[in-house]
Amino acid sequence: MRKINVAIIGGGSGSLAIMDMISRQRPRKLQMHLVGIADINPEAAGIKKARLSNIYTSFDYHDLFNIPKLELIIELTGDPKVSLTIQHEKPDHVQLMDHRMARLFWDLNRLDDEQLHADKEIKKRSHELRASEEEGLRQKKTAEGIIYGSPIPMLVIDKNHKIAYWNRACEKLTGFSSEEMIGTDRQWEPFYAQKRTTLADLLIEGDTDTIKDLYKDMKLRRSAMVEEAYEAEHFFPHLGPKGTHLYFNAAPIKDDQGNIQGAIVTYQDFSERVLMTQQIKRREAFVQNLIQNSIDGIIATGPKGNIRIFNSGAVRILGYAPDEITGKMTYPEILSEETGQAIRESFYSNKHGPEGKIINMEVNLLNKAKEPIPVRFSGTLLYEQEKEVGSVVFIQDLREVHKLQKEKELAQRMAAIGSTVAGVAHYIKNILTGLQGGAYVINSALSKKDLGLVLKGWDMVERNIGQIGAIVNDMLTYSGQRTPDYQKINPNELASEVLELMEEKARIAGVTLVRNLQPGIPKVSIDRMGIHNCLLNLISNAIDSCTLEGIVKGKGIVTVKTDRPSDGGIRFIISDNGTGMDEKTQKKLFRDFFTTKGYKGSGLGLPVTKKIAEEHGGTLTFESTLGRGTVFTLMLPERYRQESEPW
Amino acid sequence: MPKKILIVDDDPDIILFLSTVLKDNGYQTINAMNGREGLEMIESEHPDLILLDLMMPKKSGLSLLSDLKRDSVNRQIPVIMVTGVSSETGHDLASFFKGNTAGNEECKAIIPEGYLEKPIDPEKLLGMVKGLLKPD
Repeated sequence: MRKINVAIIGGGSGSLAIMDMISRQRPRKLQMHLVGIADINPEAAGIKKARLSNIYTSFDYHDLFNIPKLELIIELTGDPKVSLTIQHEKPDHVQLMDHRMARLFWDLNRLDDEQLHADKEIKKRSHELRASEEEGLRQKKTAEGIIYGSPIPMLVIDKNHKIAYWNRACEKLTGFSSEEMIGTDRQWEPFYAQKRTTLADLLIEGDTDTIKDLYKDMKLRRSAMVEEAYEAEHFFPHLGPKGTHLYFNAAPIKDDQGNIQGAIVTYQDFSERVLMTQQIKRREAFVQNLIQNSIDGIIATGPKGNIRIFNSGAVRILGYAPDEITGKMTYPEILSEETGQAIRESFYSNKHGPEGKIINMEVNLLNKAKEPIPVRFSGTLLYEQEKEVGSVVFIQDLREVHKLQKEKELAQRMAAIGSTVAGVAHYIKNILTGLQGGAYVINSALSKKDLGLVLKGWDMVERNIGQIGAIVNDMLTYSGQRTPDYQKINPNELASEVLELMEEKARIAGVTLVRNLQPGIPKVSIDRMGIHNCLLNLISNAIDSCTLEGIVKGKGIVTVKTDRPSDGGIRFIISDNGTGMDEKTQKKLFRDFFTTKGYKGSGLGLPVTKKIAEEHGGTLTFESTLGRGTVFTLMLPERYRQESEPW
Repeated sequence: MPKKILIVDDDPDIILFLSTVLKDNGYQTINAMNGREGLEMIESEHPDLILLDLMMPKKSGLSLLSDLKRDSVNRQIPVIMVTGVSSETGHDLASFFKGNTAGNEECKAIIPEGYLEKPIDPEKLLGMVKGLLKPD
């Protein structure tokens, strides 16, 4: 690149243009470099501008000739005479370009610039055009591809209401193929029974009033996403075998001038979601029902322990109304402190069931009146992503269970009373026979004025009244809880007394009574009446067992023995060589109202005897062998006087 | 001659009652307190009818009946069995006998001529006795 130093003579408007041209010249082989400018007018525009650019200026153009290495002078005075003078005066090595040449040069330069600019512009434009064409094509293809391949059912109609696109998903949704639909105005057909204007048609027409009117029952709303678009949803009974719930969105398509060119409609089939929602609602209702109507109380809490569910069972058990407890109260308000502590401990240990669960823990909850209610408590902590978010517990009112248990016991007692009544009735029937007989005998004696017979009859009545008294006594003894009336008594004397009473019975039965009373036994503290009854029962039974026909061989012997065990107290042993008992009989022996004596026994003797023994803290035991006899042992422990009891 | 009736019962009250009813109606009565005594009395006294208690010490009523009905001479004496309903078996006497003798010829022979259940109705007793004692 070569640099040419240039000076300008004449600072008028031409100089400005040339200066501008020099400053904006493009890189070329020959580069002009402005080194000075002269004008007789120091206020000339070119002079001013040069000054600003620190370029040498002078009012006398001759000064320019001295600039070293000056090569070219451009004369811009416009005066041919001046040009001629300069031609003569200039140094030889300096070339002159007069104002006409300069003008041509400037024009050429400007043309060159413009050409270049134009070339550039053309290049740019053509590139842009190509790019936009490609992009357009690509976009069009992409859009078509997106529309056709989209899983979202979609259709596009043009401004003439003809279908332009009908994508695959739309084919699937409607059952109408794109081939038959594109180019037609049958966009209404899959959805409605009769031809009508669709939302897309109305959007193209810009008829918002009709849109609002026609779609008001389809939950019409403006789209939040797309301006001028509408959304709606509706159940289309003709679409699909069972009808279809559709959500649809229609948007206008506009060109860059804002003119509507068509409309696009997308659909979303939410039949399944509607079905699922219905199903979920039904299931929820079912669960709600289950929770609400459970006999057990069900209480569920949220993460902060707030009670969220409090079913009718819980209401019944604890007395709170659901709306005063749900969302308002927490567990500490329905638990005592120690119960709360116990429940927490059980939840976070494997005390009642594994950690995080409680199975059948019996606790007391506090009801609305702050009374403790016994419940069976089962529950589980609820976790969401390993974070505890609440709990569900089931409570069973143990008051009800206890009540049921009591009812069951009562029922069992009633059944026992039933069999008692039956047993006793037979026994009493026998006594009644005696009483009736006595009355008959007395009547007969009175009519015969036979005083002796009256007395016999009276005896009979008295004896049977005595028997009724005895069985009533036995029943009271057996059924009631009583404490023995302790007295200091010589057990041998008591045994002798009873033996004497039994003499007559033994004689009739042909049974020998043997006394084997250990001498020197001191007085013991026992209930006189009670033990008297016991001995009477045992000895009487022993005699009876010796008299049953067929089993007893030889003479019946009943032995009554007393002794004093080493650890104190008193023992009565009554043995017989009678029938003995088989295992079946032995098992039933102490059972209420079991008797082997038919109507002659009440079945109460042994149970009463055993009970009296136990009331004394003693025992009644037996050993028996069928065909050989039975030994009953009545064992009463030593009794030490208590401070509060006088002897 | 008044008819002679043997009462076999271990309960003296029952004996007194039954004998009073029978004596008041012109019968002669003799008593036994158990089955063995009863059998002896049958041999020595030849009663015209027997009132027999089922359950007794020393030879039960059933045992006595069985012996009596095997005796070629005394089997003609009519027997009225007297009993209460057993609380254990729940059966009345009639079904007790029918149950025990079904299909057994020998056993059929030891069925008593009458049954009476306690408490005893004097009218019923007298009716049955009268029916069983044929006039001479």
